[in-house]
Amino acid sequence: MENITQQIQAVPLDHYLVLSSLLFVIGVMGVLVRRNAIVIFMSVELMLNAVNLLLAAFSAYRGDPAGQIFVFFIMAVAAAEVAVGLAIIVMIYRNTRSIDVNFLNRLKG
Amino acid sequence: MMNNLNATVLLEQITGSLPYFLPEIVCSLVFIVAIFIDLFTRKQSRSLVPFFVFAGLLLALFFTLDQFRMVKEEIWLFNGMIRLSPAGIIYKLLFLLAAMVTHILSIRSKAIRLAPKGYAEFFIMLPVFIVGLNIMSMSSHLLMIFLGMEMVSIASYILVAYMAEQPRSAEAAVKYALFGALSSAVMLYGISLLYGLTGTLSLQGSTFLANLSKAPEYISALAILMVLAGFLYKISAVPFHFYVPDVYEGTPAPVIAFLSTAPKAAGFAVLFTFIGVFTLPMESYHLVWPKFNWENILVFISICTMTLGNLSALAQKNVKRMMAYSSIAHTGFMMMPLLVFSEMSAASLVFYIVVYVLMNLAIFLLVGHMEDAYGATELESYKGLAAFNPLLSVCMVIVLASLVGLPPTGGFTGKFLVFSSVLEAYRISHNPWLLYLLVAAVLNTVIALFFYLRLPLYMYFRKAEKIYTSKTPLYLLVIMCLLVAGILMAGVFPSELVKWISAHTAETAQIRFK
Amino acid sequence: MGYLSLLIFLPLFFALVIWVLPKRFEPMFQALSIGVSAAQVIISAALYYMYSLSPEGFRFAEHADWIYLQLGTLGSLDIDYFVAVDGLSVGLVLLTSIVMFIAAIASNEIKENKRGYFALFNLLGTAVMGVFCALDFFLFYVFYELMLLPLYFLIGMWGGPNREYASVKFFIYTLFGSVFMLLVMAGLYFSVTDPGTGHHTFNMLHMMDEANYSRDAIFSIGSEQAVLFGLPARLIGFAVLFIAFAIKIPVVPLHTWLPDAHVEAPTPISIILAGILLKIGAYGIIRLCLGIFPDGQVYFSYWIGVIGMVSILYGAFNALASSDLKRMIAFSSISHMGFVVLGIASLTSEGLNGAVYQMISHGVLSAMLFFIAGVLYNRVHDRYIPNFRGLALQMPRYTTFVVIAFFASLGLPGMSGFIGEVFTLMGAFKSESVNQLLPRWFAIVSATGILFGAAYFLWTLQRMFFGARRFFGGEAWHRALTDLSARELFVLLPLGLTTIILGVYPSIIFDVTNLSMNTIADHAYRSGSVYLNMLKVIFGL
Repeated sequence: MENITQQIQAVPLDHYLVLSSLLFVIGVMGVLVRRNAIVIFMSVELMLNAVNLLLAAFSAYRGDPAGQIFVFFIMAVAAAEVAVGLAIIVMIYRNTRSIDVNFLNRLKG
Repeated sequence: MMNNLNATVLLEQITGSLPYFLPEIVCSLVFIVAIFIDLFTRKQSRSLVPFFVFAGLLLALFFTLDQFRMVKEEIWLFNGMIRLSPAGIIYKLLFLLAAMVTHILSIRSKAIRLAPKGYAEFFIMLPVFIVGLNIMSMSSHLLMIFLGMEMVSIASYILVAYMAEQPRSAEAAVKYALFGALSSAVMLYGISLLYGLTGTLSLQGSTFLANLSKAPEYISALAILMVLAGFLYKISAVPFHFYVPDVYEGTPAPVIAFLSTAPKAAGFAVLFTFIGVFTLPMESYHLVWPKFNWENILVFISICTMTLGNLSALAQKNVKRMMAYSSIAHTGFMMMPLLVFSEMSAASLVFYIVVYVLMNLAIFLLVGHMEDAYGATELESYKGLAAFNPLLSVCMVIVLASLVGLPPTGGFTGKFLVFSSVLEAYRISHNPWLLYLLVAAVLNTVIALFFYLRLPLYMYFRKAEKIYTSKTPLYLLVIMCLLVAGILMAGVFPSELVKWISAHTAETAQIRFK
Repeated sequence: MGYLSLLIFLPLFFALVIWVLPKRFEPMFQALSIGVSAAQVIISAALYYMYSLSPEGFRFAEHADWIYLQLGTLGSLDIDYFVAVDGLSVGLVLLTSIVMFIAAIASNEIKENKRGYFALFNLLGTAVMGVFCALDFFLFYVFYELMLLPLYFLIGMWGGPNREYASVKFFIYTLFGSVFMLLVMAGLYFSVTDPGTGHHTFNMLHMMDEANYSRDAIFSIGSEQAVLFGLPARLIGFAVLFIAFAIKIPVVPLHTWLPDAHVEAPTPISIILAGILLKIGAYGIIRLCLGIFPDGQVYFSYWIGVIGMVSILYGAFNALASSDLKRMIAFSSISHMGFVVLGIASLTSEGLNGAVYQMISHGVLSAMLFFIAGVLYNRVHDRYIPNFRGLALQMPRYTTFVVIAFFASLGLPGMSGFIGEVFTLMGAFKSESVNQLLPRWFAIVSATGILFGAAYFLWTLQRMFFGARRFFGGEAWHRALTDLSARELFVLLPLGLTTIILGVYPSIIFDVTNLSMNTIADHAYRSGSVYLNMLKVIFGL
């Protein structure tokens, strides 16, 4: 355990920050640009992973386990969220034979 | 802190907390047992699960009421993860009320009865909601806030997607889930930044603010705004409101009766906790943000929310969409007391929320009845209803008057309390933004009148084109009358209710003030 | 329960009774409503008589705690049930019950959904009575807003072809004024403390006393803190209240809801609108604007005088141009209420006494005029002036009352309209020498309004009633246009007599109003000038 913490700390904190910011921004761009519902969900996952990385890095630097515990919760909850999300996408596919979010225009006003 | 954690002390903490956690434990057990009941009795009986769930909710209600006796001041459970305050119990009571009314409305709802997924699963979700909502209202730890919110969100996706065979419903669900996942990811990023800046996830105590004061202003501002985004999504404030009208339109009315009330109330409870941290006297933490004025940002959001909600509602022809925008507009009003954070505003926020919950339940009761009995969703299809359903229509007019904020209804008292608390804050701070907020709120009241009036206009002034034959079930009328009686009582004799609320909220607010 | 509470809540009780009674009692609903309003007439006449025996200050007061909230840092929120009448309101209370009585009798043109109609009618009765009696601002506001919903439905459900538009317009205009009033009310609440208890209070009488204002509140007198948007808060407070009530009166730029509402409303509702509702606006200005913000009144008097003058002339010109009888009467109301505004603006004893007198006189007259229009409309469902000619030959008794009402309205000496107009004009004329608020030429220009008033009334009389009989509807109308029925006679006769009695013997009203109005005028001018000087020093106006 100590060993891992030291290894994490071997890389400067700034690097983690930059990497996770990049991941996060890529995720946001993906959500905004892509039209495929599954890809959008994947982009959200990318954002969540950016969060996880950040939390783990902070946690290691501060020597406080709370951040890492948070990561486990995020992973579990994200799995649940994706399960529901994918189920909904399947429903959409059955209805429209497509998972393009541009087709979602019945509800307007 | 982690080094001197003693396992036995920790264990004692947990077992000692359990008696205060009974409502949530009951709901969790009900959830698990109900799944099994559904599994084994699906063939024989359809009504067993709803009955069981309702009994479970009643039991949870009993334990929640019991907490008023047990809890006289804030107590900390589970090693500081959960904070049970008297104000939180009021929220919990509201969630249960909304859940039980929804339960009763759903039993006979056609949309839910005919859902191919089966009838029982719908009711099984209600206790899950209660657990999530309760955690939201009781947490002042970022992890618990996140868990509570996600529990509520995922349960909401499932309920909205319940009728996903219909394209509208599926579309609403996918929009809801996508927006929800996105906003929670943004919120989490904000949380992780806050964690990095402060080194703690607990909002309580001085560590959080003291450490935040060492961080640069712009990055703290960014983190706070990102966290706020998640909360604003939950209360459907502008600019995180896009999903609301679609979800409302595509979802059966009883579900919306619940989704438009309980999660929003819980969102406000969380927002109240979060904002409360920053209303501590900041100077004593050397926390000075010359550029980042979160109060004015929230005032701006509040103004935008109410104005956009009301203006968009004007153009709607579908009742559910109209009510969706109306609920957005009410979010704007409910944000007003949050911004001024005083003992009075704490009480007026809870009062407004209580009345809002009653009003929305009543509205969606009618909308659901119309949907079930006549398949009516457009304003047009309410033509001449009053002649056939006089009692329901009169109740409806009272509810709408309350939504506008006309005396002598609870909506008026709520608005009055909210306006007063903002005005009083203006007197102390002389922040011109508060004045703009008040003027915007007043103008919005007038705009709101335009579209709220359209419902009675169709119901009373237009001649019916068809005959409304189906009789309103008695239990609906009884619930409606009870809700309306509550709204009127809150308007004519609000003393007791406000006294009760402020007795329970005073402590929470006072702690911040001293 | 005191007399005033009885007056206020009697209709509410019967509104509920009517709402729950089974359908077979439907024919009784109108009789019940007439009975309720008759009882109100008796009670309020008794009150008026008792008040006139010693007409001073507020009497018949009832005081009870209503809402009491403990709100931490803000102290407590005290809202009382506080009703009482003085020389200003006691006459209006009597007027209200009389007009409600007339309207209840006129309600037999209502054929469908009588239950809803009479329940709302009585609810409205409670609201208007409450407005005149309430001395707690919050209570006043509750009654004030409570009027809106019943009126909205009464116009919208039983009105003419364009009723939806008219009712929504009415509702929105009024609400627009009153929601801002809510803010002023809350601001006043935080500025005023009850000297007895030390709590903040909504009591209007406390709000009128300089000593009860705290130093650093929003509406404090003579405080640099009292600023809103960089302007003196008290002037803004006055303007907000004035606009709210001016919409009700209505004065000219804010009047457009009135002709629509009148034209579309059924006869009894027109009677209530013109007879009572417009007076609520003027009552609010005298009671609240003058009482609480006298500095605003002194400051804006000139412009209020202008508004009154413009209303008089504009109303008269429009009446001259109207070809719908009801529209003509509606515009004549605007013109006549202009005199009230002018009288108020003068802030002289004559002006204010005349204003109250004019309110009561116009209440009776407009009830009569709209009833007259209703008589015609019920017979042939037409009110278009050019469609009638020579009605005097067709309906002689009817024409007699029309002549009485028209002449009383145009200000023939010896009838009630004359006294009101003359006193308000005298007040406006005297203002220059007494308090220098209004220049003399206001009175002179406004006086021409009487001339135009005479013109449109006489012209209408000549077009519709004189000459040979010729009706647009031909033979059918000849048969339909029968003379007054006994019921209609029963309404018009006492109204006609009242206007003559008031005209010949005006001291019936002046004896009651005089002391109260002198106090109000005196307070408004004196403390108004003092406060205004403080404002001028602080803000350099």
